[in-house]
Amino acid sequence: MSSPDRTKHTFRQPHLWLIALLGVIVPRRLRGDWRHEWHAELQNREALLADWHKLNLKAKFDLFRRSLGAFRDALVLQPQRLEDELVQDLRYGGRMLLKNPGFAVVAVLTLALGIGANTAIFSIVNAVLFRPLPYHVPDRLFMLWTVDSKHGVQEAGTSYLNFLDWRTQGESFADLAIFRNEPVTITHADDTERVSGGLVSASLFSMLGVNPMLGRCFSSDEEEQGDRVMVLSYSYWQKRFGGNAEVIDKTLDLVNIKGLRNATRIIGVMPPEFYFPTKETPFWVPATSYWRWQRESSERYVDTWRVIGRLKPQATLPQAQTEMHAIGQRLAQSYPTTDPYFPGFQVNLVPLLDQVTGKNLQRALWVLLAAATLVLLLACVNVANLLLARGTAREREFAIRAALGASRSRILRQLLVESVLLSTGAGLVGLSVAAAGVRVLSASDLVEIPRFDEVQIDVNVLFFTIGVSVLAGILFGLVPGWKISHRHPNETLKEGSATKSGMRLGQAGGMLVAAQCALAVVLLTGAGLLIRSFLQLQAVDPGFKPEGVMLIRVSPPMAIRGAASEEFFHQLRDRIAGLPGVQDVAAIGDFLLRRNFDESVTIPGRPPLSEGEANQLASENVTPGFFQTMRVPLLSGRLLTRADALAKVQLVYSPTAQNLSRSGGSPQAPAEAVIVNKMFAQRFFPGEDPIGKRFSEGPSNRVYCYEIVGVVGDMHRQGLETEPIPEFFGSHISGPADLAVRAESGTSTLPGMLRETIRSFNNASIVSNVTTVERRMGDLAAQRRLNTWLLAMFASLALALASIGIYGLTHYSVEQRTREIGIRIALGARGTDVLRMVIGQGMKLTLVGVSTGVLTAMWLTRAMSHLLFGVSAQDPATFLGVALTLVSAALLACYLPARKASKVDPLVALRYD
Amino acid sequence: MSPKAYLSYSAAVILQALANGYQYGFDIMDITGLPSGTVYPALRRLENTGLIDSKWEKAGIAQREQRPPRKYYELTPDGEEALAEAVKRYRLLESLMPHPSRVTPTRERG
Repeated sequence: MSSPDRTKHTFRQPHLWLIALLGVIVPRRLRGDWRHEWHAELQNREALLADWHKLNLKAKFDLFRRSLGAFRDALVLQPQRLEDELVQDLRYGGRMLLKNPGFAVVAVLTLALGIGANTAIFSIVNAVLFRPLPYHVPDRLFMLWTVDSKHGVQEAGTSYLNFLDWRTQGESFADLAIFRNEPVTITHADDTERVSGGLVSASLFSMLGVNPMLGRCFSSDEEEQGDRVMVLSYSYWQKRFGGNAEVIDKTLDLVNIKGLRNATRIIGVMPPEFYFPTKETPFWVPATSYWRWQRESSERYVDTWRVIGRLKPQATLPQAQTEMHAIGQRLAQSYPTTDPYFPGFQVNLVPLLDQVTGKNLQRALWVLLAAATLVLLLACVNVANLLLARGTAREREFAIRAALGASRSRILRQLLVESVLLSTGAGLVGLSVAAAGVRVLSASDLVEIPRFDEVQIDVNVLFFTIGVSVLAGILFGLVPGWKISHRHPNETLKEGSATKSGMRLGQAGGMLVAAQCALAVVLLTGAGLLIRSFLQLQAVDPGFKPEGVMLIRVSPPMAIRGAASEEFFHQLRDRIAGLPGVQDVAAIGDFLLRRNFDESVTIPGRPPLSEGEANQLASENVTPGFFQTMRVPLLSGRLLTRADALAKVQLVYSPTAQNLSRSGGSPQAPAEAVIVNKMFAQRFFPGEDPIGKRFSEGPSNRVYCYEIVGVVGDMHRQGLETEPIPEFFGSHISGPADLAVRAESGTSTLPGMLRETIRSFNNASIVSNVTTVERRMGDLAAQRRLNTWLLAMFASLALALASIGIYGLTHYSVEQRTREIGIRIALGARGTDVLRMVIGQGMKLTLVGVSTGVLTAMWLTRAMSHLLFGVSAQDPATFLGVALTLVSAALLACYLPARKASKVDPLVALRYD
Repeated sequence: MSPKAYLSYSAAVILQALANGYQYGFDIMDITGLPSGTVYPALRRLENTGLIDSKWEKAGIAQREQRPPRKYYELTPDGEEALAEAVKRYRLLESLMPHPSRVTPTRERG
């Protein structure tokens, strides 16, 4: 038969491993025998086979196939599980919980809150951070941004020529592609629609590894020839064509921002889950169909395109970063430039997922998940205390079991089975709580974070919830289980029912409650800091009165430019001003400030500002009346008038005026009247009267001059969190603009009226994005609102749980000590003495917990300093407030049972048992 | 369990194999041609209903051959009765398989 070393060798065979593995699902009672039998049979067979002829592959496979039969064998044995001890424990545990439904319900609900909070936050984390983007191997995809250190811009675009150099010289990337989005008007039948379409390389789709659902994507030939072809997104296909498969080869008229109309042939439709770069992008056309392609594709110093690349499988991010850096340096040497607007050649790689979600959101989500975990820990502590208390009541039961021969581990297991049973029930309830919560959140406008629409309860979330539930069950079951199983049965039985002291919650319970206080302090501090940030933010004066102002985006037809545009907005303002309830109306190019501020100015007679000096400022055009409409205070000088606007039109569009201004920017040359904000005046004309002063745009521009006629207050047009920057305002709008309409309150029909008025005024204009200023500003703070709201909710849960914990412990210890307190009172203790004693004991724990919590929070809140606004992570007021809140909650929680204790009737107490 | 209980064909075949002296799961698979996923569950069932009985090989024998001891199965009196019943129903049963030459048939041993 077999030799000793052969036997050893056989243990390395896969079929034997399989048996060992399958044995796990065989009921434990039968497992040893079962594994033994299969092992013996297989080894015997192997030995026989080897004797007959050397074991070849087929024989090995045959053995393996046979051992697979063990799986069915193992399954057949499953019903015998019912006789297992574990199932006995389960059944018994279930019965015990049912016998005490009040306890079970309280425990399950407490835990369900914690598990529900965790599941809800995890489902968001899962959707936003864990769920892969809908591309092939998405974690190999990176954005390649130009870092414009001159202007402090991290994510600038690049030129097509640079992109070509990157592609030919970069070894780390399997492929690179360019893209950008461009506003386009789609006309179809008699309907027009303004959208932001994607201009992309033909190679983009293959690089992302996604195939169209219908038709095909455009080829590199088509891209080269600049063919008018387009690929639709699934949602646009559904919306526009009702999902009609015969859409292929139909044409849509695309009108670009220059007003050029191109009949574009639809050649494909992408699958539903695909989007790029945003979910709103309705279609993709070849990058070469960009209207400035001819000119731009041969320019080096522009920043038109965004670049995405796929790393080769063996390449790493640092490698690629180093390589791109080297290429950038080579390019900078080969193409030196003094162009002040050119961002440069420095490249930064950003993982696509980070790009989509943003670092701030990622951090905020982790903070929230940590907060939810703390809530769950608090809930666990409460239930552990409940179990301890209940364990005391069941002490005799376990003592008898132990006396009858139950081992310690058996008793511990029984207790753990019960706690896991509880937590699994809580997991089920928590899961439904989370599902409902997520649905409520997604239905509300509260959440505006990327990928939030992808949040759902999927397999990951399920596994997470199961894992968390079981872990929680073990966690809160372990302490009381350990304690109870380590009691000596003899003592318990001897004590009998004569003394009710039994096992005290004592130290274990006290430590748990102190830990609870500490956890609650940490959570409350986090929430307190966020709430204070939020209040600080609310207190920021936006520099205008947003109440009652509506914003409407109006895009006049392409033909309306220059003087016609001035006339257009003038007449439109007249029309709207005549509507009932309208107080003021004016327009601004873009109400919110969201661009990179890379403009700079030169002031005659002064040396140009150095390049390194951050010279950020913004400019915008407004119609007359804008500052009155927004109630922005005029600090000095005058406001812009229609005469200014007409003069500007004259200046910009009349050839003679243009020549004149080109003659040298002399003080006599006509200049455009502009208004600057306070920041501008302070920065460029400190200690001077800026009125009448002139400046020009750019570092060396002498062609076109501005003259300051007035100074207005600063407006927070970037959102309240960002400091205002220097701005100047011109008086003539050409192209799309935000119409700001201030109306009396209670004009709910205004939006409809405005749309109708604009349509009847000029049918070809496009009206979009009708909202209020408050709303548009609020969107900027949406993520902060969500963070604050959720963390505040978790913190109040924590406070409630901690208070219940303290109350429960004090109440319980009072009940346990009724006899003792009775004796004290009988010996002359007064009610206030008892009151002081009980409260003192509770508060001692609270103070230990609070001080631990404050120290922990001081350390932990640093992790959220980036989420704060106008308040330090160590804000003393918040810390003090939190400590006081918790201490007063604890006082109340101790006082109620203490009062009861102080009213103990010694006669009743001594009879008590 | 009544020995007259209905026996499936595969169960009857396994009983017959046992009667013929094939005592190990894998030997039964070989001689009956049934897959392991059928033979083992059937053996468990037959054992549970008391038609067969299992024993572990003497450790000494296995040790001498330097392999783990195997588990073997044999017919109980109930099993023999059930097999006799089954043979009447499935006439061809007895002629299906040869007696092993190397193992003493159970019936003779009993």
